[in-house]
Amino acid sequence: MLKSFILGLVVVSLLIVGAGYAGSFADAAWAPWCLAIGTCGALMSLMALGSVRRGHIAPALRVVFPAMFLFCAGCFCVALAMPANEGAGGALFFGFPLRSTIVLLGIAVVPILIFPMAWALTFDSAMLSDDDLRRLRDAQAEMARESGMPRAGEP
Amino acid sequence: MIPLLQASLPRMTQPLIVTIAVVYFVIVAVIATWATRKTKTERDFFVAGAGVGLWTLAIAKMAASLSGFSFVGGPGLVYTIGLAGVFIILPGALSNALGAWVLAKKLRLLGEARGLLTVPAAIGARYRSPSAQGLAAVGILIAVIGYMATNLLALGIVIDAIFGTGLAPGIWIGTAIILAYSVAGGILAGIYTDVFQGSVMALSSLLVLSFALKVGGGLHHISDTIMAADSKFLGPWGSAGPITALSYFFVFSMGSLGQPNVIHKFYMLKDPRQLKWYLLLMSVALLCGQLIYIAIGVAMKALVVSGATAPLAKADQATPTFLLHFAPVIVAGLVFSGVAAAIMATVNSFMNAGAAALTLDLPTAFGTKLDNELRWGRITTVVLAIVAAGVAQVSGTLVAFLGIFGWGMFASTIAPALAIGLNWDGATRAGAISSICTGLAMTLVGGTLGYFKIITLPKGVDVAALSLISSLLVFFIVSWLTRKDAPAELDADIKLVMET
Repeated sequence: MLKSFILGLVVVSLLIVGAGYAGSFADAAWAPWCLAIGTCGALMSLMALGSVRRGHIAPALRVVFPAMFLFCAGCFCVALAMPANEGAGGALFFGFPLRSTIVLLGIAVVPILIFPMAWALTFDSAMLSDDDLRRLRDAQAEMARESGMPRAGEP
Repeated sequence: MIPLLQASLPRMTQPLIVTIAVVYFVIVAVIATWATRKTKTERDFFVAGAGVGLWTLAIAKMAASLSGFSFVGGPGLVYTIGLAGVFIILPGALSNALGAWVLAKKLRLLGEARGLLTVPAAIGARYRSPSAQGLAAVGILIAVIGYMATNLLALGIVIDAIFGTGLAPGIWIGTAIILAYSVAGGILAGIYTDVFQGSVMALSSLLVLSFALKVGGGLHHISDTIMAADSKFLGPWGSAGPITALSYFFVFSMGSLGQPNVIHKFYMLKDPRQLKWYLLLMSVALLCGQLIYIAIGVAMKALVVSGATAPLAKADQATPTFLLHFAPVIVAGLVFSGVAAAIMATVNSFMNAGAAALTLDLPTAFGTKLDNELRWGRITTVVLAIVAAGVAQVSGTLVAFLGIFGWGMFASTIAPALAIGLNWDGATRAGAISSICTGLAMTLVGGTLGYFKIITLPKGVDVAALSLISSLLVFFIVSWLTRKDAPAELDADIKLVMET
């Protein structure tokens, strides 16, 4: 059920991206919005899809992926909605104009801080523990015995 | 999309630069010779014996990810279109995470379960389909030739600029050097030279960032100078507009799931539990390697608009002009070694991916198996390199054209079938084959029609982007239409890996 829901999000996100490209042929003003929201949606929902194990997602990741979608897509939307302020003497934030700083924070700085941490902190419980690996290898060995075929790497 | 190098580089035949370049090539040769002695089987040749540690994997993946474009073409692109150009590298923070959650563990465990050596083999195993494996291999072969040709041309230009050899000899000398270790040691030699090359790239990149900030008077001063002259350059979409920037963001983030030279390296990790720290190490490595990309482009723009240097005749002269006029010679030598390193690491990975497609995947698709895969791997590596070097000597526009759809071809033919297929047991063989064919056809036909100006796409929209979104949607639609076939097409051991 959870996986189907996430797959639905992936498809909807990709359709939004597709609509964005279709809109670009008509020079539609909404086309960049579709590309921004659709791409962020596709990325986060695919990550969520990859993190589903036995129908569940780790509690921390249930927060991380939606929050990062809102943050990344939100940064793009704010930059698209704000009036340009990059002229001579314009204010700088962390060395760049405000709109650019928002985008850089949204798709580079914050993700590079959050995702490696979320991955490492949930790896043992939600990705691959020693027990998971042992169970997998035992099950594969059992399957190989039943089929009479050697496991990969065995003579 | 973007040609790797658009123009020849200024002459850099200064004794110190030549010395550093020679030392660099000697170190590469020593490492390659050491690693070559360890290459005994086809498993060593194609997946480094699946015995690589995490640090090696992260640095080698970074080296393979960054081609010469990151050091020369990329800064030139930023110099030309401003911040829109950085949307090619910025998705790295997200695409690394995407690759980790979607592919890292599953590819590594699948490789172990089935003894897989290639990326198309994973597609073949997932759908129990030699046809899907063969089609993916065809996509890889076409893209590899184009990618290798553009990179060998770039390497020829760099060697010519440093040693004054002339372009054609530069191409063949560069090809011979990479071939020497790629043929003898395969990816095992490649991956250990990648570690050295990746370290050179990261060091070069960090040094250039510090010099760029120093020369420009700090980031605030650089930004003030540029904004006074060009209000759009430092805007979030640069001077190219939001569609261009966001299309780069889509293609280079989602497309990362289909780059065989990078994702193939997951097979090589010795202990899958080490993946715990993979994302952190990879993110840091890539961040270090990519700093040069934005630093030089932005700094050169500031130097030009402030009158400190003349406007560049060609955008690709941004890096050599900055290094030769605003950085110490020793840094210039190191960075140009870094450029050579980036190109060589990328070409080695492509040579290996192409050789694997010819030696392992295509015979499988035709229901046969070659007798001595190690020997054939070496032979096909030579053949591919000669073809690519020959193509590199053909006119620059054709080489650029071939390089254009490399990324898009990989992305649209591999990403849907592999990345989504390994995470969705409802994906079907028909869906995979349809999406691969869609990617192949749209990239080839669309690229050719665009090259001959028969079709014109809206500003910022590229054939690679349209191919990728089309192949993704076709994958879902056809899989859904044929969903009753899904359970029968998924072997129990593959399902076990997908559920672990």
